[in-house]
Amino acid sequence: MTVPASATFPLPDQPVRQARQLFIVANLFATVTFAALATDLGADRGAWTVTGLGALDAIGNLLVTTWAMARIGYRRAEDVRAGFNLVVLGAVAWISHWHFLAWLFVPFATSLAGVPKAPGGGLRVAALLVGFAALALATGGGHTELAAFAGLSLFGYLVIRAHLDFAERMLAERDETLVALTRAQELALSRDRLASIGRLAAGIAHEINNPMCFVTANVDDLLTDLRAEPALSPRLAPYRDDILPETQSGIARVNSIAADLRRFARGEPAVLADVDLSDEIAAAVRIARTQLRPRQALAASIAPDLRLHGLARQLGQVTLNLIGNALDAMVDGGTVTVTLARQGDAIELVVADDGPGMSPEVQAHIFEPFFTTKPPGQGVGLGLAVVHGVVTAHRGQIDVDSAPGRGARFTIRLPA
Amino acid sequence: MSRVLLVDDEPGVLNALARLFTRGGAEVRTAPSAEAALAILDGFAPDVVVSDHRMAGMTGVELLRVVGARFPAARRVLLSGYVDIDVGDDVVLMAKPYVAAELLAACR
Repeated sequence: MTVPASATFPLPDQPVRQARQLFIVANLFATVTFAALATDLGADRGAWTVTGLGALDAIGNLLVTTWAMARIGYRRAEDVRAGFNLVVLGAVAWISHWHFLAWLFVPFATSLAGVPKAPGGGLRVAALLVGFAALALATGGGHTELAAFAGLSLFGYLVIRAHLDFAERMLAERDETLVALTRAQELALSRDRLASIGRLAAGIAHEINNPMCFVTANVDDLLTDLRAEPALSPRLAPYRDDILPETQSGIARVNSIAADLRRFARGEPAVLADVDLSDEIAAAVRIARTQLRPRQALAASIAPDLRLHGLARQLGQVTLNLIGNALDAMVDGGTVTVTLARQGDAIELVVADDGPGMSPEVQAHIFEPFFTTKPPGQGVGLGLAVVHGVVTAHRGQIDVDSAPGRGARFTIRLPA
Repeated sequence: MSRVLLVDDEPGVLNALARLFTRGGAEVRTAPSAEAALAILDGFAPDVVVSDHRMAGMTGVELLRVVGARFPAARRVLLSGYVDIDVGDDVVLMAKPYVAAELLAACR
């Protein structure tokens, strides 16, 4: 029940679209400024040159926003734009002898260079400011104006940055909330699914149990009576020797499936008792050690004297099932680690392995009865269903953490 | 274990139980419901009552409560497939399908 890490929400076209929208506004503003500047300068002081440069600047920026951005990418197009604007607008400022309207282009160009927040935005702004400052100092721009407009540019850039950071944080928070919601929803869904499967399983188990109760007794009695007969006819002897014992083992299988279904559905008749969980888990670990295959190891760290009110045998079975699954999964060897410890008000049992792990798809179904990834004949798929039923019957909680190639880790929390 | 009263609404179960206890040497009476069991309870005065829980009408737990009040010395066994029941004091809870030897031992 893991939410894939790719559940983020990138906005790939956003910077480009934003740049285009900004370009329209910027061009409007630039045209007005160029017109005002040219009018103020008059024909003899370079009005036509400034108008020409203004037209050049508009065409250049249009090319950057449309043609260059599509070909060389957003970031490099903005680099080109910054360089282009520095040259053209620098020339306008120089020709107009650093007219105050020309100074306006400095914060204007830098804010364009810093928006939207793309890699290199800060660097572009710095390069532009240094460029304009050097040009102003070399060609007679006023120091006061330089300080004022550079300050204004920097301030503008920082305000923009702050807004972008804020927006980014909001997006990240939205992502986190969405991931958490998705996870909660998946958990609720799987709980609902398990609950309805549980009701079905309880019904089936009950309906199977009733007839199996006397079928079992009748076959047992029949075999007992046949064995008590001194001389069976050759027709009946095979029933005593093979057929009925085989029938009994078939019945035992049916009964054990019904019992597992009942444990999954939290309906096994049993009386709660004071359980020394530490003892039960230690016993389960001892039994599991006898099932180790070559290159498999079982490590246990069990805190002593952890007690709770519950079903001793079932809690032992839970541990055995989890260890058994882990050992079955680690076909190439590995270590299963069993940890039992108190965690606040609860007792926590962890069974972890370094086997091949599970995909999210597999994890979504592991607690359902008859779900198995083992080859046919190697388990009916009730082990983890029983684990889930027993843990839930103890008002506990079970979580699985696994990924392909990263082993599996089952954490059970039981209220003490 | 001399007089055993068996209560179950499933005739197959009732027959198997009756055979088990008859062969064990008990005097056996059977009832297909808790109400039928109550009708013969006082006349029979059982030493052991084995009852199913889920039956139409009165449940096994309710029946065994009445049995406990009238015959405090009687051994009471509830055969059931359900865990969510408060069986009451001194009642032995046994899962279906039962293991014959365990059931006999519980009634001894």
